[in-house]
Amino acid sequence: MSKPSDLVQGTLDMLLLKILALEPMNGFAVSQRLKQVSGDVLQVSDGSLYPALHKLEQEGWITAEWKTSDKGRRAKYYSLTRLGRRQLEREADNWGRLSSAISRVVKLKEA
Amino acid sequence: MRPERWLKKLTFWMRLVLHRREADRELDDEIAYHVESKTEENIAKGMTPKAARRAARIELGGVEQVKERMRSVRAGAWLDTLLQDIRYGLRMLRKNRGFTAAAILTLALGIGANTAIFSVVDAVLLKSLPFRDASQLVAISETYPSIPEIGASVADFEDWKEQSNCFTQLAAYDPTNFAHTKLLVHNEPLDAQGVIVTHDLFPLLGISPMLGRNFLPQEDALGEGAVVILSNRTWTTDFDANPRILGQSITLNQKPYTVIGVLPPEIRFPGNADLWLPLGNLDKDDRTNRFYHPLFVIGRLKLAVTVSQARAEMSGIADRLASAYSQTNHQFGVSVRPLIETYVGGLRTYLLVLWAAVGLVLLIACANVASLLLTRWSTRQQEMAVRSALGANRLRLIRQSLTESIVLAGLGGLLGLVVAWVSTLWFSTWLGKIFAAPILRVHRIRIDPAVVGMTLLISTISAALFGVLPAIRASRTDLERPLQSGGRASQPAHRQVTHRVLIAGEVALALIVLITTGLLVRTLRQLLATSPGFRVDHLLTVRISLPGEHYKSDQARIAFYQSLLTRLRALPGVEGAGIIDQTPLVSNSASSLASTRFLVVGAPPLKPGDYPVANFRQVSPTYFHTMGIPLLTGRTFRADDLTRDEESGMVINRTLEQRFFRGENPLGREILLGVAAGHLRKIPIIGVVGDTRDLSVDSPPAAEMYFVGFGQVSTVVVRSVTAPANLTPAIRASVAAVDPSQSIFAVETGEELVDQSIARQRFSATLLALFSALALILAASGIYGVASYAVAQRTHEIGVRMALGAEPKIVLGLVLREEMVAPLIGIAVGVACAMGTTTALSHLLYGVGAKDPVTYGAVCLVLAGAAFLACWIPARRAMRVDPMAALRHE
Repeated sequence: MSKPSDLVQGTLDMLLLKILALEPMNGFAVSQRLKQVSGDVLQVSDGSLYPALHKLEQEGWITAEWKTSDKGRRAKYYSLTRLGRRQLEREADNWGRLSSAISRVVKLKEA
Repeated sequence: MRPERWLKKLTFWMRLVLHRREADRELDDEIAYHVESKTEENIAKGMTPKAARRAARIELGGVEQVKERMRSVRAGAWLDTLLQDIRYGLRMLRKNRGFTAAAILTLALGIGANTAIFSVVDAVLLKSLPFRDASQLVAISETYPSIPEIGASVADFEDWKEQSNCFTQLAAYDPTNFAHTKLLVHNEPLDAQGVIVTHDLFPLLGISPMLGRNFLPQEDALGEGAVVILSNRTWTTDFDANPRILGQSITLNQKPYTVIGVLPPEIRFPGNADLWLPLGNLDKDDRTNRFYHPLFVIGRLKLAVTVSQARAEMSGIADRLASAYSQTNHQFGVSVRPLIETYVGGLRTYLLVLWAAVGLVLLIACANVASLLLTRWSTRQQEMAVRSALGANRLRLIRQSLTESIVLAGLGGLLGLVVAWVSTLWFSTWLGKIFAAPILRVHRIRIDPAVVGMTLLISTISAALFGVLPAIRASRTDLERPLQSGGRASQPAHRQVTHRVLIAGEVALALIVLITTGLLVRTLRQLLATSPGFRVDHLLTVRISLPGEHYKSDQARIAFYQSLLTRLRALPGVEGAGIIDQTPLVSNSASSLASTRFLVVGAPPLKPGDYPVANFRQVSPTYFHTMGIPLLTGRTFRADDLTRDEESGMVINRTLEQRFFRGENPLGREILLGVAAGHLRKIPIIGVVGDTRDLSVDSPPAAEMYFVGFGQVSTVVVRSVTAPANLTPAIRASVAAVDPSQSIFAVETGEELVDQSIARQRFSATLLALFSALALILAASGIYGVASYAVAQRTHEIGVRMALGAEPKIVLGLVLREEMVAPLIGIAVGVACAMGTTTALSHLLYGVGAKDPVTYGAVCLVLAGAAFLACWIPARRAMRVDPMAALRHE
């Protein structure tokens, strides 16, 4: 399986959980939203998005149900579960620690 | 994991199993929704609907690939894939019936042969001895330069016990002194085989009496031990399985013994023993001197002590005893062998050779199937290309083809089990017939869980052997070529090389099997052509035992046998009859042959320890004539030699004459006997007769002396005019007519004696011949398959050549030259390997060298011939290619 490009490994899960934490949405909407909020910086191919969503569903972090979309077609809507919320907190914590550590290192002045 | 998550997983699994279609439809719907939404978005940006849809699909990166990736993250995806692969594999196998039948049959024969041989090895070698931790048990006996195995004297045994450190315990038994015991049951004397044992033998072997107790240490003391332990068979058949037998008195050789125990049913150790007595029953003389060697010793090795360590220690002890007691022990060595070897002896080596041979046959079978698979996968390149275009990654393709291989091996193994089952039925009857030793659990040769487990293991290993290479090859498909060329994939050169390497390997392995077979078959033929020294046809031998006080007198025995011989000679169809204590060729008689040290009067003096040894036998005057043993010089015994008071002289065999008289006339010379024990007797030589093979057809004759007289146990030999076995009832009646209380046993014809003597060689040569035929057929069909495939691949090229004017003969030569390279390399490699391996067989061979040029030459010719034939058929097909048809085919 190819890895999502330009993404630190493992962060795609966190991003997806975060997006779904705001409101339940279908796969296409998630893809739109991802591009929107990251200002096209984070390139997640649609081909990687769906397997990732399915993996999260397997883990029990998100759950899916078929609903009618605003365009009047049936679509699969994903929403965060209780387990998913806890996972998100954990991953966000980790991410915060990791990114602040990295920025501290990057900002070191050369002696 | 928490229970709720388990529950979740479980529901996914259930859904996968029960609602696969629905899950797949949802996948379709979800992707379709995405593509449509994206398309709408693109249209809104101003694209044409067609371009919009195309852009949406490209951004997704291939609908089927994404779906495949989504499936692969599902829970239980592996199970799903496995089932799918098996289903698919079975479908492919059904579609290619010819390939499937060839592969499964090949595997079934290879796996079946291995399973069958393993079942024999398992029953005979691994599970044969009914003793606790039998692998730690060793048999210890003494050796003398011309005698490989004799018992130990009681004094030596005591010294061994004291001085050795390798064993947790040493115990001993004497199989001869009570070998022919008369057991009185309801006032009727029955023949029973009794064995004297030390009190600790049964505990050492891990045997506990089923009823009663073991012997006690004090019962080993001289003059003690009027007690007996019965075998289960004796207890049930002769004493009606009466549990109150314990404590009762029974009569053995007219003396009372108290029954103290009964052993469990499977124990008849050693040989076919019926009852056991403690060491106290050995005579005083027999237990104090070092001349008499009655005891066979069994030791249990201490943990982590090897047989060779024990051997080293014991020969050290034997050397010390030899210098301490040079009169008796000089030149005496010691032999330490795993106990199992004393029973299966040479059979062990033969079984291991057979096992190795079937292993090679299986390798050939695997190479054949691998070659078939390679060919088939190359015709399936297009399929592979389509599959990887649809999102199957390389690992997935490898898994797919390995699964197909395992399905193939599984089916082959299943059929192989049937092959093995049929062969075990045959083995157990055949082996049971030729190996009389009851301790070998030949009747236990069967398909049991261990054997089934072995089949499973062999099948898995073969799947790995023949499946891996084609699987890796198959996965290395490049996408473009097969799809573009419309399925007519031309063969890359490296694949041909792989085929050829497989062929060369097959031929080399087949050559090794064939040469091994050739050598053993020639050995068997040499054995069959070797005369055992007597006329084998129209000969019947029966054993008689005359126990009791009455027959301890020479007169009584002479009267009995004279009268019997007269009656036998009067029988219609009888040409002659004679008596000997033990006929030649009676297997396992190393311990039952009597031998003695002697000196030739008038020869240069020798030190006491260097006295030569010869076997001695007691015969009736008519023995030599009846057996057809030629008289070389002098005379044989006359009837009045039996009744004369003074020594009547001895007849020696040719070997003794040649070894000790070297061209001088032995007649009238004297032999000094009783030299070791000190009561000297001078006996003149009256004649020289031809040699006979005493132990087996392939063991060289030993020096031998014949005396006239009759022992209490002997063999009657009868020369018949018609089929000898028909005489048995008449002989039995004659014995009963002379003494109604006597009976005969161990009835065998001369042919049976010879057959039993070469049974092992015949068994292994027959099986090896079967395996060789199998190896040859497999190798030839492998060559044929590859050659046919090569010709099919080159039809176009051949067509062009012929269109340009190449003669059919040139084409034939071209194909033959190319296809014969691999088999010829295989033959060369095989000869080199066989040179190394067959030298290891040299001790199994008789009358033929390990590098016998005739065998090597013949086998090379046969293999080359088979290879030529296997190439010639497809080459002829190439010769008949119609150039027009071949070119139009493009």
